Amino acid sequence: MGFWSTILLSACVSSIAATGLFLQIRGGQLNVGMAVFVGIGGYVSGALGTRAGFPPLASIPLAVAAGFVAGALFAALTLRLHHWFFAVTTLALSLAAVAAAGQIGFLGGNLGLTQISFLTDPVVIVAATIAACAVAWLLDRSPAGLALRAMGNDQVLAEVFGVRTKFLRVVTFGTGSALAALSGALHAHRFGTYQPNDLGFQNSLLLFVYVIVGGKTRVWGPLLGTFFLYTMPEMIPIDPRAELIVFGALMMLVAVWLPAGIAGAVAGLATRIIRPGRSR
Amino acid sequence: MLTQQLINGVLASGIYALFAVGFTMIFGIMGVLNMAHADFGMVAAVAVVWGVSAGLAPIEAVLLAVVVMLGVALLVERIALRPGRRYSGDAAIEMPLIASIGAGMILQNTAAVVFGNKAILFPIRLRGFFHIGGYLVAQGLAVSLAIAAVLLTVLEVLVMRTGFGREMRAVAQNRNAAEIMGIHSERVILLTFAITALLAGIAGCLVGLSYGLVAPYMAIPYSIKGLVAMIVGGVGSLPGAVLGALLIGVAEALTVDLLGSQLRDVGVFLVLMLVLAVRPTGLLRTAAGG
Repeated sequence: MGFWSTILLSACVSSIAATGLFLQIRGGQLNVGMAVFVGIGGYVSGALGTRAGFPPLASIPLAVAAGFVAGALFAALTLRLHHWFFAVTTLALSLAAVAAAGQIGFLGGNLGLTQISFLTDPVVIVAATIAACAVAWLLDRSPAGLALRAMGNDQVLAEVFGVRTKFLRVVTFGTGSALAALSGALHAHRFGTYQPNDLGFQNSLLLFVYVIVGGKTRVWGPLLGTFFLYTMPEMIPIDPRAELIVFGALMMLVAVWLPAGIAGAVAGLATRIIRPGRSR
Repeated sequence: MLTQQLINGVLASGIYALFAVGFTMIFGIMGVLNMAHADFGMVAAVAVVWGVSAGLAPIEAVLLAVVVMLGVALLVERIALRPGRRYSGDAAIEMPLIASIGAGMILQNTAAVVFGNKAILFPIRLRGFFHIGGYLVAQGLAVSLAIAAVLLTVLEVLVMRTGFGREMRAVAQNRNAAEIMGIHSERVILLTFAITALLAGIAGCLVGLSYGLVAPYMAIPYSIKGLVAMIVGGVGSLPGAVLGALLIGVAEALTVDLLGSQLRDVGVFLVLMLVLAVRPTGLLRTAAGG
């Protein structure tokens, strides 16, 4: 397989999880431990394949369902937490999950699952990406998407206007986690292994960067951010070790000067070209 | 065995308390979460390593590290946190949170590029044990706990008994009202930020002193545990942060005793979930907290 197609397929797989994270952040649930939910997909699908002989196309949907259940359960347990209380809880979860996954013999312990059956068909990966984006796009356009946006801006005010915030929090976090699990399952079947470290903070951080840099106010922002941050280091010759410094700097730049991310900048530019004389 | 683990837990909590108090002070006075806070400790620790390897005496290296770390901290405050004060509402918390995560990534990965992504031997080490009543007490951790206790007592006196402390509390309570009363709130915020950075720097060096090793990514677990200790104790409360750190240390020790040392981080998560389920505002919460 060519160099670029490998990069682009990796970006596809990550963008599914980034889109899931977008849905969560949109509703005000600042999840800084997304890799845990990605990992649920990878581990469930991998374990079903290696321990029970499920073919990938049967185990991936089950992994997605497991991701939804785990996400909804976590959201139900943390209903009372807002903003950064929630963020810190997800941080602690990611720390705990790496430790716990390394101790479960059924999941291969510290070495993780190996010899997971392969599913590297690009058609499946691209189709999954399109399906994930379609789910997010439809949800974002629906009345539920409007309620989600309202809740993300101000949960109490949204409640006053009749948004069932508890239900919405559980369902959107579950949906986001289901997308994350899909991404994890695809990753596991692409590389044949899944390890406790895949649940770690660094991976969660990367997903967070994709969403923030891409833009957390537009549904196609995470997709754009993921592809941009996957392809940029390949086109501009930077030391691979310095890549994360650049990512951190981008995150700071976006937070301070460009709160809507690259997607916001692109949309603003497009509006200005199509309808000159009017700012967005 | 259980008593030994409990001793270890209490000893380890000194360093957690230093980080947790820093987080809680920044949140109390600025209303933001500085995710790069624990990384200041890493910066100070690797600066000491660099200073000693460049031929400085340990004490000179520590002084150099303090200067470097304060410079880095004030730069982070200027670039990542200060713009957040323009916003109000949720954006005022979210923007500095995201920007400081970015700042933390820059600090960690710059250190990883300069020093290599590996554990570095810390030049000042205390690896021996005291034998007290049949129990082993790690010397480094005992010294750390003592230093932390002294620093936190000084801090409590500073906040509760001095004029500057009164200004700090006034700014934490209501920044506009404090300004009207003639308090230079920007100066108070900067000084508080420098104090918390100093605490983080000392804590980072104490990690090196106690465990003998420092690493570019060492701040991540301390950052998480400091934040958890702050929430468990009650945001904005100094005694709360200390209590939270103690609870985290003991919970870790109990998990190690009951489930094995690999699962110590699971204990931290369980304590957080338990406290948030029973008392979402934390164990001690003051009006000054956000």
